[in-house]
Parts: sequence; C-alpha cells; structure tokens
Amino acid sequence: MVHKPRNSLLTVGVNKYSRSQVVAKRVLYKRKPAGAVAVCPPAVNKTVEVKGAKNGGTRVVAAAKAPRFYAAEDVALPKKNRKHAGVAKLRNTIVPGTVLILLAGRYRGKRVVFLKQLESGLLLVSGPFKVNGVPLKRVNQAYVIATSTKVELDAAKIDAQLNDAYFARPKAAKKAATEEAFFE
Amino acid sequence: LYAKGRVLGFKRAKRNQRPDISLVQIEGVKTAADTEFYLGKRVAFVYRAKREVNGSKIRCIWGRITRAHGGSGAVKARFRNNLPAKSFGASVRVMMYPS
Repeated sequence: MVHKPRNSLLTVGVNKYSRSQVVAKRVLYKRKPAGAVAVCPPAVNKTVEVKGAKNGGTRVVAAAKAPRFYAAEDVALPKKNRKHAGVAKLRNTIVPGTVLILLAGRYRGKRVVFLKQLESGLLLVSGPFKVNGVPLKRVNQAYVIATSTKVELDAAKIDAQLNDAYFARPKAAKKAATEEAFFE
Repeated sequence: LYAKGRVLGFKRAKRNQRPDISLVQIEGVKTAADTEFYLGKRVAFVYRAKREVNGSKIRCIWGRITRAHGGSGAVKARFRNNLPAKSFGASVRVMMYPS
C-alpha cells in the first residue's frame, strides 16, 4: 500500500528519522496482519508402516529425504528473473479493419487486414486468405506499417477462440523410454 | 522492402578510426532531419563467402542505425560484430522495421 514517505532527507546521507524511529512510525504494535493464520511448521518426522512381523510395525523416518549426492563445490544459482516486458500498446493508427503492410517474414510486402490485438500484444491479422493467400496469423506491431486505408469490420464476428492458445504449438507426445525406442 | 545504403567507412577523426561504429549513407536521405525516420531501424550487411554455413554461402551482419552523422543525411550504425573494412563502398540494406 503506497503511503506518504515516512522519512525525509536533511542532507546527503542524513535522514530526518533513524531506522528505529521509522519502524515505530509504522505503529505495528496496534496493527494485526490481515491474513494471520497459525502456520504449522512442516513436519520434521513421519511415522511409516514397516512390513515384517519382527520389525515393530512402525518406524519414525525423516519427512524429507536427505539428498544422496552433495556437489563438491557450491555453485551459485542464477537469480530468478522478476522483470517481465509489458504488453505493447497498440498504435492509435491501428484499428480493427486497418490495412497493414507486413515488413518481414514469409509474407513480407503483403497488404493485410488487422482483426484484433491478442493478449500477448501480437496483432491478429488475415489476408484475407482468399484475396492474397495470407492466412490468419499473428504479427508483431513493430514489423508492420499501418496504412490509412480501413475496411469495415464487425467486431462481434471475430471468434473468441482465436487467441494465443489457438496458435500454440501442439506438444509432442513423450515417447515412453522402452528398449525398442532406445535401439531405433 | 528495404532502403539501399552504402557503407562509407568507420567512425573516425583525421588520423584515428573507431571500427565499432560504421557510417552509412542511405539513398535519398539528404539532410539530418530526414534521417529521423531511420533511427533505430535494423541494417543488414549481406555478403558472400566461399564456405557454406548452415546450408548457405550468403552471410549477414545485422546492426541498427543509432544516430545521424553530420548534416547531410549520413548515419551512424552499430553492428553486432564490427563490419570488415572490405565493406567500405559496399551496399547495405536498411530495413523498415522496427516500425
């Protein structure tokens, strides 16, 4: 929650309030955290049933198994990336029905009709196929010139099924690691 | 779908040159004000070689136009790998993207 700054600069390197004073300003002693649920610490041990008549029936075992292998040297893991590019803003000259010129790709130079912008920011575009052979395809806004020519389009007619998932590559079925597959 | 350009040479003073930036003259662009359209556009130096790489004897060095050079429409471009000096006077393709 954005709050007016609790501290201010007197001069370079010198703040008006000390670290503990700033913390006190948060008045934590009066507040209760909103989602305060008693969190049970994860179980360290668990009891497991053991087979065999003379083995005592159950055994207490560590809940998480220790790894079998420890690397000789500690290798630093790369930090997780927290930055994600936002969705490109649609140019105000591009409106459903605008004729666009494709600048790159197999259909470079073709004039094409803009249908709508998809959630990923890519533009859904079509020849139409019968007119110039350009199928329904996605195109990046940067690789397109918008012309001033516009075509009448019914916004309702663009099927809602045409989204990024529609264009996703079908995942290849994983082959089971069988002996025959190994020797193919 | 590209504008034609010529490689003029490297960025240089009279006696020293900096090969990381090349100077390009784009056909038809005669003033520094005209170059504004081309800033940021990608440039390709396409050349042929004897040995085939990835199934083709044609190779390409990509770059981008970074800023104008002087007042008469020349332009500075920075390539992924520096252009070879052999490319001076050679043609270069100035693409229309990013639009």
